[in-house]
Amino acid sequence: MRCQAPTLAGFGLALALASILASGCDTGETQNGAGQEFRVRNAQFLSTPLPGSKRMDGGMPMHAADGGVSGPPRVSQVLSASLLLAPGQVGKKFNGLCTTNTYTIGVALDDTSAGHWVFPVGTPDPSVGALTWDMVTDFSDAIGPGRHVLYAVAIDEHGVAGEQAMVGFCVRGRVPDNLHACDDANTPPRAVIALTWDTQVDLDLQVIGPNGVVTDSKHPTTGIDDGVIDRDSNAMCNIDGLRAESLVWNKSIPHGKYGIYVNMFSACKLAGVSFKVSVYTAAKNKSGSEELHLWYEQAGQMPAIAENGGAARGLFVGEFKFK
Amino acid sequence: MLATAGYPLTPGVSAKPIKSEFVLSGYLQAQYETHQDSLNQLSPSGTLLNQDRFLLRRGRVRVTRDWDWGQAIIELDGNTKSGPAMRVQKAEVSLIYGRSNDRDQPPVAQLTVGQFDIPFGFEIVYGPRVRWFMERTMASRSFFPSEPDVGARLSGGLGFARYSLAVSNGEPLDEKSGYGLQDPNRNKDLTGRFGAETKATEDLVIAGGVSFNAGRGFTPGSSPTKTVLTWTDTDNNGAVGMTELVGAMGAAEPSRGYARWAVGADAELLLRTKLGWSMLYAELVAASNLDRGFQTVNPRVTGNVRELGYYVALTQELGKYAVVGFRYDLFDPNSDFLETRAGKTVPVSQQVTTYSPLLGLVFRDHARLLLQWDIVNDYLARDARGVPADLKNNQWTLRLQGML
Repeated sequence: MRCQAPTLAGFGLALALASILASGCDTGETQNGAGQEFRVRNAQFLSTPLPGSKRMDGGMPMHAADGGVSGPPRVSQVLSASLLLAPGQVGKKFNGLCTTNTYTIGVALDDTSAGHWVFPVGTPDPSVGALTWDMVTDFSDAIGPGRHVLYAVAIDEHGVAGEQAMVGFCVRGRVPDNLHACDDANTPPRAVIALTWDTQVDLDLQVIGPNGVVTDSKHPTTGIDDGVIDRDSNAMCNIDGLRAESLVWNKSIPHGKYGIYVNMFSACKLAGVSFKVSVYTAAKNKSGSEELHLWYEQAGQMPAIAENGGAARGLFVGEFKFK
Repeated sequence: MLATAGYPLTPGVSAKPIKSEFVLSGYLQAQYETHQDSLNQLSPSGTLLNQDRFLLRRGRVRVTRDWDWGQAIIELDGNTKSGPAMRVQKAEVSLIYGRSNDRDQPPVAQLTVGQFDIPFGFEIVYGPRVRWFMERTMASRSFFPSEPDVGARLSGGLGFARYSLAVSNGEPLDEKSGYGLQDPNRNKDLTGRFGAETKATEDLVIAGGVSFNAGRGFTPGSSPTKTVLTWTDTDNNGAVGMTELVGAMGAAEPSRGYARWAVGADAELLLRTKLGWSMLYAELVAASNLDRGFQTVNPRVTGNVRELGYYVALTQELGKYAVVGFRYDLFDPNSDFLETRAGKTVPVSQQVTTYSPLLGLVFRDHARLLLQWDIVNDYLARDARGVPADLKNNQWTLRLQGML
């Protein structure tokens, strides 16, 4: 609700004050949305549930392709290059089509009662007789791994919303699990030593196996079995935002004692980093399927002064003995 | 009369007799402010979104030295607006001809060189030490993000007539471009005000003027870049796909300039009654491509942008120890803004209006305790239909000001 501006003819201190106070201005539901875990760039966050009716069978609303203006507005298409997301992924693009009576698109993630984002539709696509829309989204790494649903709804100029379109996607875990979080049919790795950290520095996981071989992102295999470092995150301060590296065994659980080190290759002009090392092995859960079980966890911090460009061994974090 | 009462319409003038020694003066404004749109978050650019805070808004020390033929002023400002800062607010030296014995009457001619307040309209030169309201209006702050610029100024008055003409770099302090007080082009801004100020009686003063500003803005170019091939892993499979490779041709963009201008008119009325001084004043400014504080313009992309701002303000002393005030101001940063709605391009208002009631306790020449509420109506949010709507960004400020 907007404040009603007093007319200049009736301008007066008392009158204007009374008008402002009586109008109850600024009681709308608009918020910045900066604290949301799912954000849409150049869009408005509203702390009200996503409007529109839900389709019980999921997917796109009925009569999606007619592009006409009869009936409520409809989102007829939601597209993205991939429906697999990295944790904390930013700049993820979605686009699609909607009917020509659409004013704006509302979107929400999972629990649609927590609020939603709205943004105007784009230009017409004369080839299909519909309006286009596109959005750039950011996902917080607080959004857990696994399957999620993106809801999108078309809203007309009177605020009438159509049926919600649903698109499922999956966020993979920060710890490599062969996409087990997305599909139970995928078997998780046998063992994982994972390093995760909080700031955009170039941190490296270094592991010394029972054979004395150092495994790190420059020497990514263990030399005695199939263990391999999955990536060199933020390598040379080329920031990928993932802030995670893992040593992964896919075929069998290794044996012996492994020394775990964390090395600050470069602080990337930041003050320091907090990190966590975790060790997992595959184990059966109560339902009988396999999942990664956490056996060991150790957190620590490193200041920028610890950066060494890979010239030395990193900070000793601990040892873990696989049985 | 006016200067003594705290309403110096012609500020910065020393009348006869001249004090030969250094004159030290200053003031301090410390406040608590709270904003509806504060969030315990950072913006994408890393700036703090929390604005509920204690703030040293201005801590100013000024040294003035006068001679019969001239004047030198250095004013330093310390504040914590964007973190702790100490900077030169004013540094000006003047040659003066024809000083008056009346503190409200400027000299016949004053040639000033250095860093001084831009002589446009009334708000900019009517300083924060004496102004009751916390800050200048949004239009004024957008056109001139801070008061001072570096250049040369000729000003003065003859009878009721007042004039001020300045040539300056055209990049005021605090300008968002990052060129504040510097000059990225050789063009100099021309700013002036021609007005009148008359005491109809000892209890009634009428003043007004017209102002103009003309200059050239600067859009920085970009350094030459090499042709690059970029891979974006859009499907998150860690493998390079042909649709994920994008080539970008090397490019270089030269810097360019653009014309900008503003014209304005202002009027002030002061009336002394048994309650104390009343001050009613108003100002109207029309401009093009001059927004340097709210939505920094780039005519290279948008074409020329028309802007409009005006305000009406009233303050009333209630005896010796109290004051009330109210200000209404409007700023239209782009009178021709267009938006696509349902596939059609439609004109959209971007006007920002602010209602600012004010209450104050006053210990004349010593201290002020002021409370101001700013009720802001704008189009910075969107409603449930995606149509621009008011953003909840009202604020109130409690300020204690002490004079040195």
